[in-house]
Amino acid sequence: MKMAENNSMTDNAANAVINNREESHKVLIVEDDTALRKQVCFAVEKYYTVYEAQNKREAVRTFKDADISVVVLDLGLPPAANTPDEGLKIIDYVIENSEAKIIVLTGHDNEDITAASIRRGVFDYITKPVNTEKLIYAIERAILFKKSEQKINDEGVKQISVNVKLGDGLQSIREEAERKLIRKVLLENNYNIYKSAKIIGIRRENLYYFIKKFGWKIMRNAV
Amino acid sequence: MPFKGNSAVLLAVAVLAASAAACVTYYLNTLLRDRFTKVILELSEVNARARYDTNMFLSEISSCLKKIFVKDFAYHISYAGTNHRRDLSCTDPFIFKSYDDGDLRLSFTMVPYFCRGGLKTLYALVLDYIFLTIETDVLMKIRMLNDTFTNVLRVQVFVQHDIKNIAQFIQTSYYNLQNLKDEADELRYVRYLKDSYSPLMLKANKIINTLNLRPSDTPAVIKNINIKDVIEKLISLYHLKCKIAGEGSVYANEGTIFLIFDNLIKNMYDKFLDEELDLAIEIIDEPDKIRVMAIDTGSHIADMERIFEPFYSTKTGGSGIGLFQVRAHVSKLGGTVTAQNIENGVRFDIILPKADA
Repeated sequence: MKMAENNSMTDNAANAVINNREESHKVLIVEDDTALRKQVCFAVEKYYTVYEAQNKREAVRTFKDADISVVVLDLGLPPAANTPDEGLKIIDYVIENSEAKIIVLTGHDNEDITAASIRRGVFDYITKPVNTEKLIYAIERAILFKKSEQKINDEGVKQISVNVKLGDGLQSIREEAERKLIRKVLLENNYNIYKSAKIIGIRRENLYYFIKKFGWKIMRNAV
Repeated sequence: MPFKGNSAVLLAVAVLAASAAACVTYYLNTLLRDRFTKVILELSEVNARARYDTNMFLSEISSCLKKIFVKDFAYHISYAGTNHRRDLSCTDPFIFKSYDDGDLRLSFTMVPYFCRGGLKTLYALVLDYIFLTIETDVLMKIRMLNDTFTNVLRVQVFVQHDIKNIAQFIQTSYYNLQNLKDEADELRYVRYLKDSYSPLMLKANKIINTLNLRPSDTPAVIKNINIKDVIEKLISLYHLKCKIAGEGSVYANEGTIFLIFDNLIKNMYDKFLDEELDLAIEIIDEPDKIRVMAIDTGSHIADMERIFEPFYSTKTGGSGIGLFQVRAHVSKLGGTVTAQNIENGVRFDIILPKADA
């Protein structure tokens, strides 16, 4: 992982203020094709602070180091660049460990892969080649959603999405909703048990019970 | 008495006649067995001459079957959406054998002039032999077709992935060019383009070589190439940490040298993403050749003999082309490439002649 061009800050200052520039929002571009990644970085860094990664390992490291708002993700990454496996693993990681919105930008136009990504909870799925304007708009929309969610969040309302398999009864839905909500609050509060329990409205002992039940590790420095 | 004498003569004649008949029958049976055996051997040769192609084989067996008095024969072979058949031109009694598993349908019918007693067994033997030959040839063909489809699909997926990236690169670079605001922006963009140049060339080179598979015979531009520079460039491109020792140059085509080491280092990179390991590359300058030793401390390769086989890959979605191409290009340059499991990892040895052969 590295931030796209060390000089981006100074250059941007020289460029004066570009309309809609929101440096506070960090966008991670995960793409194994270096030439393409550089071009996408250049296009996006006019508006946002850009980070780049060329594989899962670098992407995960970036998520640990920076508060990423949006990730533009190629699914076909090494060591299995001809399959979506690595990209789907990154989606799983991001959904489980971050609040970032995921925009898939991939060459895979197979319906099963699209469905697998959407089921996991990606914000948008774009197939290559795409007009760069559309990609920028998708990032803008993702940031807008993120900001709105933050606003709703500040009002004490949490939004979670749950995939429901009809006919399985309510128990599994309840458990999945519980799991997602608690995980979300814990992440947002850097695994501060006291604060998280207070926000959710449960006792600390119960929160420890859930952490044990879902098999999570307490990661104090988690973003 | 005369009667007795006549009886004895008659008995003797009868015994002689029976013996003669038995001898003749035995002789004829032996002749027939020989003839059928020869025909079976001949059918085997016909199949080899037909290069194990079912249709060619069946078009050539007519003369063999005539030698064992087969009046007519028919077949019906259906697989992979194809239908091959020959129908009988008579309605005489026949013997046949068939197989049908839904995907593959086979039947073979023979009409002998005469099929009784011991002959029945001999015809059944020939029928079985022909049927088995057809079945084996068709199954081999199906396997070959499946392998070809799989391999073409692998190459197609690989090329599509890269071509789509290039198309996206063109789209985005066009967008970037349209949106350059001032000189500072332009300068920054030029820097980005410079960063893109090497990886893009490498990608284009890889696509062309994947489609070519084997090294081209067209004379290429050759020049003196510093192997360490090539390796350092690739290591940096893959964001790898690798100890590089030694120096050395070869006189060869730059694209070929990049292709060789890109495939080798990409192999190490993929492994590096799956497991924790250290990498080291040493370049040894010898009088008339350059030896490059690439060592990783990762897991052993299970089937060392197969890694240079075309389309053999242990990775999910792997094309199985990379190392095959490394060996093909190194051999073309007059060098060698070998791999071996060592105590704490895997070692690749590439030997390249300094001057282009």
